[in-house]
Amino acid sequence: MESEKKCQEELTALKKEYEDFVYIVSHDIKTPMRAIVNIATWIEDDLGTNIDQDILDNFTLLKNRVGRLENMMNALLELSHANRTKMELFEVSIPKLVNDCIAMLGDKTNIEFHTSYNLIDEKCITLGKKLEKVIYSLLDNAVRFHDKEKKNVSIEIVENKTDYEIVIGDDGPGIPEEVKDKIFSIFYTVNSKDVVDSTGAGLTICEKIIKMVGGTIEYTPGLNGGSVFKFNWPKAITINN
Amino acid sequence: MKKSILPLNESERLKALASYSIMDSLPEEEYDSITQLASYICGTPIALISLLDEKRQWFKSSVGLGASETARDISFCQYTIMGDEVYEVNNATENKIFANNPLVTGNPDIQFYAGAPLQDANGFNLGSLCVIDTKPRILSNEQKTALKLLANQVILLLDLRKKNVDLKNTQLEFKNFIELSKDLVCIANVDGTFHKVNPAFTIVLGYTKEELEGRPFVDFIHPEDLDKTYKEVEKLALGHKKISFENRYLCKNGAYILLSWNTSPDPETGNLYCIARDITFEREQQESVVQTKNELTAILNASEFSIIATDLDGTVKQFNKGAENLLGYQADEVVGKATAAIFHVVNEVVKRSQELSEELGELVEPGFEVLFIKARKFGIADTHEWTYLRKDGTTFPILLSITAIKNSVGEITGYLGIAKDISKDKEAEQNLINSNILLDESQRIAKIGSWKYDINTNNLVWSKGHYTIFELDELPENKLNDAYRSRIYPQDLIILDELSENVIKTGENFKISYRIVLPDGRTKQIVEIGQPFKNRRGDVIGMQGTIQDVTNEKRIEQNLRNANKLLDESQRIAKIGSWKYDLVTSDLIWSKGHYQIFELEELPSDQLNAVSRLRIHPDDLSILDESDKIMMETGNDFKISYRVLFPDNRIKQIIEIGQPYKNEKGEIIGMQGTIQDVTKEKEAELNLINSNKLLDESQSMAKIGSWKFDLITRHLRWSKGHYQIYDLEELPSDQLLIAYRDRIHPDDLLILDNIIANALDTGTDLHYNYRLLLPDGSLKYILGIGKVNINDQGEVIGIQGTIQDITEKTLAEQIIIEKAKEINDIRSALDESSIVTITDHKGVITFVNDKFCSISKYSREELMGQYHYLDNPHYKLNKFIKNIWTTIGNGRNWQGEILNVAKDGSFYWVYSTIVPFLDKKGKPYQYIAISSDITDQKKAQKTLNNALTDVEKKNRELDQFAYVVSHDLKAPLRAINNLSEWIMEDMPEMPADVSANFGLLRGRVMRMENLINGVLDYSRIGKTSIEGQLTDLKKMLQQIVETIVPTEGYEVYIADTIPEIKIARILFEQIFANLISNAVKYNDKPIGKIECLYKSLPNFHQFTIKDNGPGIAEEYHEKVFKVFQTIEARDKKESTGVGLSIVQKIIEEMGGTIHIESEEDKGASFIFTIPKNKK
Repeated sequence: MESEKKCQEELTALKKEYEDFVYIVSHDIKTPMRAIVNIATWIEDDLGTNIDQDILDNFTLLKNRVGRLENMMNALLELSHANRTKMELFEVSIPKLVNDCIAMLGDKTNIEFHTSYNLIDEKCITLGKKLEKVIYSLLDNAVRFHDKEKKNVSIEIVENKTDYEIVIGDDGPGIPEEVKDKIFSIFYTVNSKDVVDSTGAGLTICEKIIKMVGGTIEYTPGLNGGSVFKFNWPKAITINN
Repeated sequence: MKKSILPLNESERLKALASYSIMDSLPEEEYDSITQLASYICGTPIALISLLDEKRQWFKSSVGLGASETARDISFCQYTIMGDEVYEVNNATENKIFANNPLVTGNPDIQFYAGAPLQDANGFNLGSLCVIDTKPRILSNEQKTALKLLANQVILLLDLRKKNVDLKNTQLEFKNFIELSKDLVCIANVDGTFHKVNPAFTIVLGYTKEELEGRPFVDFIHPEDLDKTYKEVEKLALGHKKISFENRYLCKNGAYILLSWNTSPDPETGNLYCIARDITFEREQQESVVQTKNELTAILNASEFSIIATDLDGTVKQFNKGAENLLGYQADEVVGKATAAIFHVVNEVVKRSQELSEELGELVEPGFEVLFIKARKFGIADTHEWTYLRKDGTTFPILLSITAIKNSVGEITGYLGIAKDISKDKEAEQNLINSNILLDESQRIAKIGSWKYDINTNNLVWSKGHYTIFELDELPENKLNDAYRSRIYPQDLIILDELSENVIKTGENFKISYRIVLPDGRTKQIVEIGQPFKNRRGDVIGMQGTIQDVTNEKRIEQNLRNANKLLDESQRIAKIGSWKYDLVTSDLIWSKGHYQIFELEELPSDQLNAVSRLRIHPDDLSILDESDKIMMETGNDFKISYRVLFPDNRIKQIIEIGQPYKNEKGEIIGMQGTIQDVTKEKEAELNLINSNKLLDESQSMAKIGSWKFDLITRHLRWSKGHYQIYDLEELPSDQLLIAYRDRIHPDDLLILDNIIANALDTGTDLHYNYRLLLPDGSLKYILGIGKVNINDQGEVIGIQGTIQDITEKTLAEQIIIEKAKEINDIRSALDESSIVTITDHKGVITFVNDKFCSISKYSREELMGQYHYLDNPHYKLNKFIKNIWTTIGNGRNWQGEILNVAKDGSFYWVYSTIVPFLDKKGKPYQYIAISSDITDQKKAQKTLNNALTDVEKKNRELDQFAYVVSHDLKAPLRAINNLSEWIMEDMPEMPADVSANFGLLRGRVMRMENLINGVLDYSRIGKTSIEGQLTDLKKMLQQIVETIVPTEGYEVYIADTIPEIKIARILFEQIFANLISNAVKYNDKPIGKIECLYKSLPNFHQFTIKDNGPGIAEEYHEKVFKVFQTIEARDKKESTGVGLSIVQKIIEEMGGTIHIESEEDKGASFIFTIPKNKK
């Protein structure tokens, strides 16, 4: 009993350490980060346009890296906030929420969204902002990493007794079998960040949110290639930090 | 004024002196040489070592003085011991204190005295070393010093002496302790032999010291225990300081005793110090407890006895196997559900209630009370015969003993009934009654009757046979005598009366024949054999005897004498034959009757003898020859009986009466006589004998005796069985009554008398128990049943009955009751505490307790008769179970954890001890498993394992996360750094401000990378501690302020006193950055003021970050450090509170503290301390 208690304490300590770590990284490093961004802008202004193409290219690349770093910092910040901010329970209409997410996506040319709902009640009271974040991120991923001219994205939501089962699939490139265990790790991207600009934090944040509400998320390869993300979202949410 | 001359610490001083044991010791050279030396050095004739006890000064050594002691109050030394220095009296005559001292005025005429105190290590002056002269003198300083040195020498000698004495005492005490110890104490040599043994060895083992010392100690160890012992002793070689073990040791008488050893090696010599204790008795006790428990269980489960325990109102609480067997109920059907009264027959209970009401003189309701009232009232086992009613309605007789069960304070809590099926005993009783009937029958057949006559009362008792012969109906004994006399032939009556008068006078036995006349005129010839019986004084008070109807015999005799022609005929009818033998001619003549009896044709007289001998049973020929011979020699008549054996194997019983006949000269010239075929009579006689024999045998077998008591004659008669039970030789009736009463236990005599008196008064049947006290002091328990004899008038004339020796049964019952109680206690204790199952040798369950039922979720019925592990697929015939069986099958205990399946399929864990019970051959006949439920423990263990795995996983995840984050963040940083480098290389003539900005950029990149590294380090705190480095905190604060605090709208003060200390940079950066950014973040004033202050405390550095912001209400001072708690709503300010909690964590891990001093609207000070000397 004694040692079990100790274990639990240690576990709590570890969780806290994790939170601390994310917090420290995202907050404390933000200050020099902001300086870097500012200085880069000043240099750009000072340099003007009248310079060598090589230098210009390099500087563009530098700006890109600065941007990426900033994105990563923001992603970490978001991750750190994932279980603390925007925690309001309010009533949402699930189809409306999905439609809002689709609307938020940028370029939607050549994308076909297939939605299918099997709901007893379209409305539910939940952590609306969090659910929106998850669905948006998954849809965003489906579109962003798509490699074909015509893109199909499916959204299927089934209401069960205690939870919603939400499946988001696409006919994109899918995720190679050998790396599918890593996709929920922070900053992990299947391809180099230069190919598709991404911080690799979206799925990490999704997973964190889903775990927080007491659900699970899993990836399975789509039947015709592509990816399928399936997660369940409990109706009654107990915050599980 | 006389000064007190006792030292202040006198009593302690005396104790100190006594501790040296020096007073009155013999002179010793060492001391003498010191006094001689003192005398020599000081030039005085006298030198003394003087020791002062309460009353005197005693001289351990003296030179020049005859005395060995003087009184203390006149001593000089008493003054010496008052001080630490040499005490000198130069001229005693002129000294106020000593001028009148008898030692000065008289012998030894002391004029000069100088003494050095003998001061021991504790500062006690024990006495002095002194020098004395008869002339005044003065000691030089050297002499005084020498005296002091010598005094020290004396003290050294005394100390040495004391140490020796102490050592000797300790040794002596220790030796005594060992010598007197009851434990075996020995020293064994390194080579494994006894070196020294104490006397306990001799007492316990029987060997003398000499027999043991030098012998290897393993010689005495039981061969089977050698390995075990060696193993233990080897531990010493492995460095164990002490070993404890048990082994069996051979005594001199060849027996083994169990010793418990504790052994330690001497660290220097390696010798073993061993102490052993004989624990044979303890072990035997232990074993006998186990044995008793075994036996108890056996008894409890014995199927011959029904054992039923009830509570006070009769509800069955326990119902053993025997009860189940005998009564046909299962324990579960009746325990707690039925009253024990349901096993009884209603009529019997009602009848018994009436009996008891009379016996106890109070109303006993027919109900359960009837069963236990005696046990309750008298506190003894009430044994009574009952009829038990089986479940199927059949009945059987039992002997039921009921005892009250009492709790520890003696209150009755229930009753225990132990019943034995006595169907067989009852049969024996029936047999007895039958054999009595047989007796009567046989008397009737043999035409025999018996009688008994009381002279005082004129009462006469007859057997049935007697009535038959006299052709009378049964009559009351007081009327019988008249009826008897009226039957007797008048002339013979006179003879009879004369005879009985004579018998009363002489007390001799008699035999007489007389005639009786029946109402129809027939007469009968009677032969009567009688004997008188006497009272204690030897007076004849009655007679008894047997009669035989010999009418037929008499009549034939008469006919023979009277009419020859009627002879043959009558002989034929009477089955009598006559013969005559002429010794001279050897002619034998037979009558026709003789021929008929022998079933022979008439033969010539010379052949008859030879032929007739062929007819005689070969075994009986010698009887005939012998009687012939005797008759020839003595000339007397003879009467013999022999058998005739016919060719068809029939046998006739013959009585032959013969007499010689003589010539005129008196010489025997022949023999003549009669024979009688008495086959029928013999048969009857034989039957009678057989029947009596049968009676005796059956009685002795059944330990039954029968008795009969004639109330009128006070005549008591016993069967052989009765004598056997009473352990008495057969006695005449008059002595028997006394002997009988002598045998009865004095405590029971009165009760018995009452019972019998009661029976005689009421005429009811008897049922009683009593005890015999035999001369050797042993007890016998007797169960009696009896019945009163009532004559036609309804008067009680006697009493008869049978007794049964139920000692064995009673003792067994008593033991059972005791043991049953004991086993109940044991069992209830066991039941309370453990899960108990018993299986037979095949593993079939024979017993389970409630706990097992509840844990396994099976009912008892479902479990009984099942294989213990049959339904467990996990263990079915696998290695684990095989292993258990191998262990317990070999008679060894097994202990371990077992996973079991309950009825509902759930699993539960038990920790079991399985104990095999061995029969006499050492083979297990049953196994008891005592288990405890460890399911929760197991679950907890599993949870713990899971938790541990979780921690490990989380740890790994965190490591990975930290690594990934820092690695991935560093990648673009390096890119930025590299790119800016390349750009600067590509632009040699870069404008100065751009170049400065690039420098700034690279500085920030560097800083950021450092931060990331630092954070990574921090996240791994606890695993890798961060190296401290000497840091200028002022500079650090300036940098932090520069990056965090906006230049506009803030005034920052950094105290000059802030020192340069050796710390983990990154941690301090964290602390300051968090505190300062908080001050900035919450600022609500046009000019935010931030002050960084320092104070050096004795052991701590104290830093204060003070702001002029909104302040923090006191109730939040603690709370702000709690993770995720911010004072304002979350979304109002971008703060989560994590920052302060990290700050607190860092500070506390460094051994410091942090607190807030603040009031609302007056700004806040975060004050923290860091220890100066970090551990």
